[in-house]
Amino acid sequence: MSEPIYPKLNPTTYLELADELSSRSEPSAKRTAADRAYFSAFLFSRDRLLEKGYVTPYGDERDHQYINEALKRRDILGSFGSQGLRLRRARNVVTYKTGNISTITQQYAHPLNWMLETAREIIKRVDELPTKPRKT
Amino acid sequence: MAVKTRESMPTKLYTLYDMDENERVYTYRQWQSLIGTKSDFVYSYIIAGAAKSRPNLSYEQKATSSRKLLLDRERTLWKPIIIRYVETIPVQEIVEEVDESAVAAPPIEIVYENQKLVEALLGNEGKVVLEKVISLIEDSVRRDNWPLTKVVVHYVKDFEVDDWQYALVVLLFNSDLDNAEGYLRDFYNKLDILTERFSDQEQGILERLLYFDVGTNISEA
Repeated sequence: MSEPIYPKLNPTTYLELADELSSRSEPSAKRTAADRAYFSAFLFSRDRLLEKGYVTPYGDERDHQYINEALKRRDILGSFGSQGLRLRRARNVVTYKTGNISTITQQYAHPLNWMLETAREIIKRVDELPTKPRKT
Repeated sequence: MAVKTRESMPTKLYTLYDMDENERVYTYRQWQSLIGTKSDFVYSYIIAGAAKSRPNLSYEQKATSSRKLLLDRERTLWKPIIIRYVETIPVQEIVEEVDESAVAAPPIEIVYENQKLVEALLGNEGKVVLEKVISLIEDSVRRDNWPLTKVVVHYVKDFEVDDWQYALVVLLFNSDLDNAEGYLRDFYNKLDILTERFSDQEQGILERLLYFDVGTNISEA
């Protein structure tokens, strides 16, 4: 078997990287940190909810919708799950707009520390969910 | 920062005024947003008593002698106390009478952006769910004095994921972003309680089609 060109990834390491990047001054570092914060929470939620028996992801871009809807389920995060989409919308602003971004000019933009903390909270809450009992 | 309740307010203030569950504490900015007045106070707390639910309560009975607050036994009166602080020490107290009508919650403006698309997306069942959500918001404004100025309902089509459409309900507050975040968390908790009574179909609509966000009309420094 050949060596993987990209070894297996733990999505929480994206958040660790985002933390590191957040302390750097370059705009590219801060924007990459914001982007990775979303993907850390999204990918962690997708993989952990699969492991725990809550979801059956597609394994492609449709999972953004699927997982953000799933997070709002009563048996997952409830209304707090709406934070997943807020994080995604904030990430979209940072990733796709190259001009100056402020919370005044971009309604859905959030400071990087908000994005990091929100990602962290989603990951923590998903991690704390119990494994779903299998139906017999 | 959310509206302070007796659990989160400074112990000194709570002890000083022996507040009960009918009373709320606002930062001065929150109070300003409710009654629309201006003041030169930099930072203060205001206690407002609403005793409609406890008509026999007399605040004077349990008040200190200097506390000339409240209550007409037949009506609900709102009388703010403004407390001026020097560092953490309350040094001056001003009791003001406020016309009851002045503190009544203003009507909430509901604005749709692309209303036809929102309605087509939600369908009849979805519109009922949205109405229930908006009623919850209105109720929170009245009961908890949220400084909400407007609710904007957007139709959104995700540009990365094919066919992902949803309605985004944005609550606009006359507060800073930190406070708005607090109100949103409060809203989540209330919505979770409300949805315990939702049918599976209503719950499914909420999960698939309705998302929430907050905005503010106060510029961040």
